[in-house]
Amino acid sequence: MKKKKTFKQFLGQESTAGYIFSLPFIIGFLMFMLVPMILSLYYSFCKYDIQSAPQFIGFQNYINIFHDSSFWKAMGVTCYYALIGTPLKVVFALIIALILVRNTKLTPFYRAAYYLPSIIGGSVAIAILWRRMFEPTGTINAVLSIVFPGITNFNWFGEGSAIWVLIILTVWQFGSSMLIFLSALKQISKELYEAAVVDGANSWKKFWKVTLPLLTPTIFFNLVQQTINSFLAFTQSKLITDGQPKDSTLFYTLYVYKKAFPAMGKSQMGYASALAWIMLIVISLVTALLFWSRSKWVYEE
Amino acid sequence: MKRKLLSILLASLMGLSLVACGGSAAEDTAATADTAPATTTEEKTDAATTDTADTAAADTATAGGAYDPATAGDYTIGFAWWGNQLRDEVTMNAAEHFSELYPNISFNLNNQVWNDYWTIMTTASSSGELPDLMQQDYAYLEQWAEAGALLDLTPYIESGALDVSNISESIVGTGKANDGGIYAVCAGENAPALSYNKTLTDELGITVPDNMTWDEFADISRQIYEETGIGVLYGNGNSENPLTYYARGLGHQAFFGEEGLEVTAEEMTGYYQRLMDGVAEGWLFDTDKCASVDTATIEGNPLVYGTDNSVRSWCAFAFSNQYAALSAAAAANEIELGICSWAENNPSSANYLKPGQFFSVTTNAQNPDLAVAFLNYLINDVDANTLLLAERGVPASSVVAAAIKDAVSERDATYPIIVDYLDMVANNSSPIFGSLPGYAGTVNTDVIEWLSWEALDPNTSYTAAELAQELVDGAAQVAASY
Amino acid sequence: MKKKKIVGTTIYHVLVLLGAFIMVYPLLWMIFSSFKPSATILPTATQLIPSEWTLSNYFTGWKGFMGYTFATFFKNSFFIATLSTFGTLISSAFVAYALKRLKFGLNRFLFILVLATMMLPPQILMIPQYMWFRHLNWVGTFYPMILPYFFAIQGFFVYLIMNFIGGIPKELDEAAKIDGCSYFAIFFRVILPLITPALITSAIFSFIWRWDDYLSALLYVTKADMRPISLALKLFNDPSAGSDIGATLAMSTLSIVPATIIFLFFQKSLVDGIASTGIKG
Repeated sequence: MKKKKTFKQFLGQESTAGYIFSLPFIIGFLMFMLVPMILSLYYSFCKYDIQSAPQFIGFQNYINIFHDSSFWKAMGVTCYYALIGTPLKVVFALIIALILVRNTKLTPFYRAAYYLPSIIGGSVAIAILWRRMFEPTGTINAVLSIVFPGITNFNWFGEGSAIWVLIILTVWQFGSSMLIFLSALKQISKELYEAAVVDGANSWKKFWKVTLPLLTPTIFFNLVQQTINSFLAFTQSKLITDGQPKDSTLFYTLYVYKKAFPAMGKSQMGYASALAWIMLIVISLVTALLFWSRSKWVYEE
Repeated sequence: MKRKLLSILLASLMGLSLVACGGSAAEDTAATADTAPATTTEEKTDAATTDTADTAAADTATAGGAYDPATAGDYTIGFAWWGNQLRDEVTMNAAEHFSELYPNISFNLNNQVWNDYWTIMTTASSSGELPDLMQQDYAYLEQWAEAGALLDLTPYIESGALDVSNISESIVGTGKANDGGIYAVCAGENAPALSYNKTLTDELGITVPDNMTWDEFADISRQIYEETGIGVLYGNGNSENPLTYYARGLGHQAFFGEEGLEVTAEEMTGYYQRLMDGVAEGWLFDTDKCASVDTATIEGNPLVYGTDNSVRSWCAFAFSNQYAALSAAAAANEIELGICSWAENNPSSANYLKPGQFFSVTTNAQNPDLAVAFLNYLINDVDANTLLLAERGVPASSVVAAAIKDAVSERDATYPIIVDYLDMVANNSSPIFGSLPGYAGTVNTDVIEWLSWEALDPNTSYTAAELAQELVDGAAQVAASY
Repeated sequence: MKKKKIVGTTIYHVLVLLGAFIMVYPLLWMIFSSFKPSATILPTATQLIPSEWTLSNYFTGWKGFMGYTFATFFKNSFFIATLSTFGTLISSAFVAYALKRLKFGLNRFLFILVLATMMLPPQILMIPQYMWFRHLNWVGTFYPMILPYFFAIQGFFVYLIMNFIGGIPKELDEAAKIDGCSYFAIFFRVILPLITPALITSAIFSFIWRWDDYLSALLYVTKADMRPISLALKLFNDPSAGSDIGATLAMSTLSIVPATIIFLFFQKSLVDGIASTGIKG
């Protein structure tokens, strides 16, 4: 009787409830993140083709990676994509948000139209569509040749331009960043603008002196979110270009995938695990760098 | 399904919450719950292998003959292949016909394209999920047999459950791996074959001869390119086939050796040089153009599809069994195709007959007897082969080949053309190279592919000699770390 | 002055409308093309509205391949997306409540872990998780695409719901506690009903993301009858490339119908949801 009561008391405690409620995450983290990561850390020190037993080879995979030109190429492609695509996307989102912040009867409709691509952009259907549209004889060239009669059959999938097909695809999906900007814009109090007008500021000055500084936390949030997102562009590059030509669209995750599950020959799972770990470290560094830079330019109230 | 999900959910919840508590009594259970899956997976694969081997031996000992699929109970045979639309259709028809004969048997058919096929099969194999039957390739047979994924068919051939009496011994021998076991049966005879746009060459008044040399081929290509702007997609960028063919033309007896290539960099320089010349002259598709066209599928191949001459190819370096599918796709675009041998300087030494695809029974097959019975049906049944339309090549069994000739010719006008072509090759060829070592696939993906992209890039910083050197060195390196 | 304003407004609307048209043009092109006879799609690529309407692409496409119609693929996708979304909602709400409202030793630590998982792209876990699920013998089953989501592995949703719980006055919890409610009762009776908007937002995102998931399907689906729509569409596009662009576009159009419908119906919740995660970034 007494024991039962203590158990009930134990259950009633706030800390017990806290652990019970967060149990799904604790289990999920252990089981679907920590354990797999540790497992792959081990495999990253092995030669492992997944059809026979792993062989421990020490740091050999890591050493080979640094001499692997495809690895550097994939790193370069991914960084290029992130460094060009992310700022473009955020700038677009901000500009459109500034335009759409004006309240008219049609605004909800506009918002929906600009946001829709973000909702469906990750699907296989869009990847297929994109490939079709950018084919030499596809819609994009057809429309371009009307606007600029000189352009016929431009080869979008060439070495220099293939990455742009993917960058355009990601920029097209600026909708969710735009919505975040919109809601941040609406929170800026009218008094600040009024005060600026009293000081004799025109709309250009209002933007630079009031709007932009107050938006910096939101810009920061978007940058972090989108930079990380750009590191995980897999589906679209796999389906649209498959890394071609000459690895010019070989995103890092696609390279990892190709090592782990090659089209021919044996899986190099140990090597792929090492690649995944290097990526993890790089992403952590980039995120840390972004957070470190935060204090330099983000306006804190 | 739902109940199963729930029970797994609960089990994993319990297992892990025990780990999390780490109580003394709980420790044992937790440990087993945690480590058990890891060990059982590996044991299971081993057990499965020995199991099937045991049952196979036992059955052959007792049954000693054909297995009656009607006695198998309700069973779903898994069957995977790579291919094209036509192959998908005919294979499904043959499987459906089997289900009509044995209503207790149904099928789980898995069609893939070449580029994804091996990825998916490797994934499946690593977790014991391979289908009962898989299409197999001559080049990768050794690698898959080595990995223990394929069932040795020798006992079934000895017992007569798998009838190969009408297949020539040399063809049966191509299914043999280094350990002496027979792991695959030839699905049809095949040869490298250049398919070309006959509508176009007729229009231009060009005759494409059999057994042409590379220079003759280059002349024709140049002429077509100058008159129409239609080029040549060399293709096969990530395959050893064109390199092997070139090496055969030089008189080599093997391309891959134990520790690397059997050819020298000096010899292979000529191969890369002529690609570079073709690109420089404009008629050969360069890297960028290759990337803008669909090279993975028959229906999208620039030979048969392309809305503009600049993205069309007048020929395709294909195999004879692809001629039917290519022709079907070409007909949809009002093109008639012709067939001749791949261009090479010493055609009778370069060309060869090969087993098209193979069929293998995997060690994951739960009822290997049934899988073999179905395999036997695919190889020896006349109705099945009529339905299959010889799409994978001319049936290896001479009896079947003779029996279906008229029926298939009636349904598919390309069939007699293919048979004639194979006859021609039979008189103008040398024996196929031995099966490839296990490391060959990795050479394809890690070495041959990027080299072919470089060779086709007009702005490359490599010379042909450097590419050839990279090829030889790269292959040696892959072989060393295999 | 007034006239100038009207002109300004008109220009504004024309420009914004033009921008909106460019944004949705690819989708419109796909949808309208799917109603053109297959052979005319590429030759008439610049013409948006079909001059001849047909449903034949939908009939051809729906037949699917290997004896499985697109009904099978849609069913698989619905099964996966619905179950995993349900799991995500329930587990994320639990965890969010604990982290936002309850004091316990590891609260802060777990919160940081949640943030960390938000920063961790799932693709990085592709290889590690594959190895682990293989050990569990889950390859070739739907489990890898469903079960993990019952364990709040997507920090984004925990974070979203936490922000929302933050907006609920704490007094409500206190009052319920004084009435003798346990923490469980508080969660189910007070918190859960109030966070419905956040749950709806999460459900929409989760459903669409799971619906679109191609990578897991690629790694874990080994049999034809288990293919979800994403994988089926990819394969469908492959063998029929070129010759049947019409059927491919028709099935592509169908595949985005669920997401589009959800978007149109719940637009407001989505917008609010995005705003609520964004503000306190």
